[in-house]
Amino acid sequence: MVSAAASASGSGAFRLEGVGFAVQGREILRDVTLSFPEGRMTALLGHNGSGKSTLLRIMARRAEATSGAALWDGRAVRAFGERAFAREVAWLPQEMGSAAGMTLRELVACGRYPWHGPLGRFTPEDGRKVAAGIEAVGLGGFEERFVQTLSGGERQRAWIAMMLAQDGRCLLLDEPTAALDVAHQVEVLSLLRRLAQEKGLTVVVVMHEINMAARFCDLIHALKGGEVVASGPPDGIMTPETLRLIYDVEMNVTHPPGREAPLAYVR
Amino acid sequence: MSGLRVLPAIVILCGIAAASALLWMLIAPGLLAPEVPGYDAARMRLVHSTLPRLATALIAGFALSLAGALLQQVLRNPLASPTTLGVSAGAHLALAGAMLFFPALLGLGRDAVALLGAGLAAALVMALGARRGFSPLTLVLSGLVIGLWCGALAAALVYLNDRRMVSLFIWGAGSLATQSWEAPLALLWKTGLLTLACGFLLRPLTLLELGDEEASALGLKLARTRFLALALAVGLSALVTSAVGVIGFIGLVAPILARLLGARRIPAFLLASGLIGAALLLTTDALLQLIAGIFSDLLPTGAVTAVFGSPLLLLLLPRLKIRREPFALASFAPRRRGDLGPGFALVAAALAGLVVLALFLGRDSGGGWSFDAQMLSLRAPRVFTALAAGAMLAVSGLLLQRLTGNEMASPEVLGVSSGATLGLALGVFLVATPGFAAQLGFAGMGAFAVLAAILISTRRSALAPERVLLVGIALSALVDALVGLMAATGDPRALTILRWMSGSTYGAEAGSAALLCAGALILILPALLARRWLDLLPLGPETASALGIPVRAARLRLFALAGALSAAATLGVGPLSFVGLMAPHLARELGFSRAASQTAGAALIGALLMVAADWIGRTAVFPWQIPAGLVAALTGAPFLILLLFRRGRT
Repeated sequence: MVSAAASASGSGAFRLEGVGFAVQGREILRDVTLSFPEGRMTALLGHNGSGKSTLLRIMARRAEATSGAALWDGRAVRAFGERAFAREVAWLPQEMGSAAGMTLRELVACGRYPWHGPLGRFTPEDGRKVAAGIEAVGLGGFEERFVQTLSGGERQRAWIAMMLAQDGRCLLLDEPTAALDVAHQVEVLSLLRRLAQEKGLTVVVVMHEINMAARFCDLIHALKGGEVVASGPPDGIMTPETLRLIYDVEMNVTHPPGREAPLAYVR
Repeated sequence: MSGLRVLPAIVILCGIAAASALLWMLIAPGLLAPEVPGYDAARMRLVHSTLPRLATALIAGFALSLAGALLQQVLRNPLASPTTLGVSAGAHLALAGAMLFFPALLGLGRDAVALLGAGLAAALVMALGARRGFSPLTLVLSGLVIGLWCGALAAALVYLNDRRMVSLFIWGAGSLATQSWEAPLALLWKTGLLTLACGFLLRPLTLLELGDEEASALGLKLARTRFLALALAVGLSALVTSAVGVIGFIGLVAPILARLLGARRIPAFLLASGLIGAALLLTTDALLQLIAGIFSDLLPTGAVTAVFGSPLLLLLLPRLKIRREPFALASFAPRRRGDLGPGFALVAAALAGLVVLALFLGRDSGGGWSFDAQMLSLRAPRVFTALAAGAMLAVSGLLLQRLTGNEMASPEVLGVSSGATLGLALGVFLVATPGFAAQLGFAGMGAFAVLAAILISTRRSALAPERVLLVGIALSALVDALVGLMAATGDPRALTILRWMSGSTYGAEAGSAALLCAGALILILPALLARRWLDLLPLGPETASALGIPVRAARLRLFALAGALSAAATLGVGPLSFVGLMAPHLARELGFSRAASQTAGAALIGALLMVAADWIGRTAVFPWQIPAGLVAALTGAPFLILLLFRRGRT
């Protein structure tokens, strides 16, 4: 563990306490203790098979930890009801449905399900939240467009708008930028960062790319072989020693003029 | 063949020993009987009946298994076979149709007709598969669906035309009985030629193993190789079907056994599949002859192999790696949206008009058209039975399509209708003349037995829709085979089952019609209430559960609802109709794309289609009647093809 962890985490909105996960005797996560503070954007980083997606799935209740606990707002995530949890925590899986035949507004309105349930009325309040979600991701005016006619970046933002319509206090996203080109990656990540800062949301993003994480996230948790190997603000992570620890590759770090975040590159 | 594995080899050896013993028991009476000068009955039977039959079994088994091996190899699909891709059933339907409507065609060439049917079925399945990148699941799904429909239609055609055609039904179920050497010899040289032709494909097929990119980089013409291999497989299946009818599942099982035995290289794999298939069919037939004795002429071997083969399909399903398919009704092009009010008003008005028409307009005893209210008490139960059943089928189809994200899903596919048929068949055989209440009970029991089997066997996969569909189809193949066996016994009671299968509303009475209408109202209401689930589930199980839907429980309830709906509808109009497939599509075409409006629209359209089918069946060829289910199915097949062409363009 790199010591920078303690200073940045503070009292977390999402807390993992000694989380372990094993499938058929194979340990995928071991004793993971981490915090995800409110109003911050946190990256979960690591190479393939490091357990980062599994960790996010445990936080989203898609998998159950075999030991330890995942706590949202001080309560074990398992203690919430299905819809009660969805009202607090919104989760975007790596692969979404195509939402074919749905307009943007209809897709975003799906995010209100946790509030109105299967039979409840779709109130004007629901309508306002939907409109606000669409507005927040900058897709105003696209309401009646069919989702499959949107570009990749727009579609990703449409799904984020749906998460916003859920009106929770936490967003969990599994590699939301994996299928996007650089311009769209920047677009989506800046949006998430702004949401964390302006609305005080707890945003957790699983990512591959160290430089993108350093540029946009307040906090980076790095996993390797199912264990936490580094945790802290980007400046603490972006050192040759820590990067070697995470990636097993010799890397250098530079501070280009005019760029706030350091830049890592393979030697 | 290299790399024989020990255990499978031992099992095969034991099999061969058992088969030899069986064969000896079959042949011995003829061989060992003391020679009688002049008319020697025992020897005559041996030479002209028993031996040709065994030869036929050998050749048919070899050809079908070779076809199955070719299909599995070229489609890279462990579940491909003439049965699972609907090829045999297509040939069967073509032959049955030709025999009934254009007997002259058969004079021109029975094999040509079979080939045409098999080719069409294969082309249809491939067209469906091509739109999803030939994913194994989609291919098998479309193939089995088309196979089931072809089989059901052929059965209905037989019933419709003449009850004395039951022998055609027996042939259709795959009977190997023969009285001369003519049939096996003709089959031998034809399939022999095609088998030799396979020789040219050995190397290209080996190259295909490397993957498409690499194979074409080595100079292989992919499309041509695939087409040739498919054509040979279709040809082999068509020839066998033309000679002995549909023999289920041999072509699936033998190649799988060959693989288990360690046949790795292509030549070894093809040869081993053929030989194993020949041995399997021979053994099955010998066993059947010994057990059934003189009735073996009536117990079609093909139906027996299906009864044993379809459970095997169930066992093999877990081996099929199901690639996560884009979980959505992907190919639906967006429709313009507007105010849905006029659309609803139009459909509702059309339905109301049609009901009035069907109630009052008919043919009088002289064949002229008459508009009167005298027949009301006779017509009303039929019209309302058709109406309720159509609406329920439509909603059931909609539920299944939305649950599975597959546009080919429909109540027939789930096997629930077949379950109801089996229940009724049992009822007819156990109780001489069951009344409506008893019929309801038996059919309901059958339907829910199938539903329970599906739910139990897919519990571990959290009711993943792909599995549910495949298990449903495998079960309905099993049930169809069982019903085929019962119907083929030549028992007059079989006709009751055939009538039911062809989907007639003749039996409708006021009481049962009222019951069905009430059932429709009670069962369609929950579907409307579940509209939010139906909107969200197509977004994928991950997203749906992230939004707080208890996915597993929701699926369970909706599947149960779909099952109840189709069971109730099957009681009214039999297991065969395309209404459950057509109505949701038509509703969508009219712009009803959200779950609630699509449900309501589909229910109205389904009712409309069924009432229309019933009315047409009643009046078109007066004084004869065509069962409503059959009319709907006859129009449904072109609809399916039309749908494909429309999608192909976008």
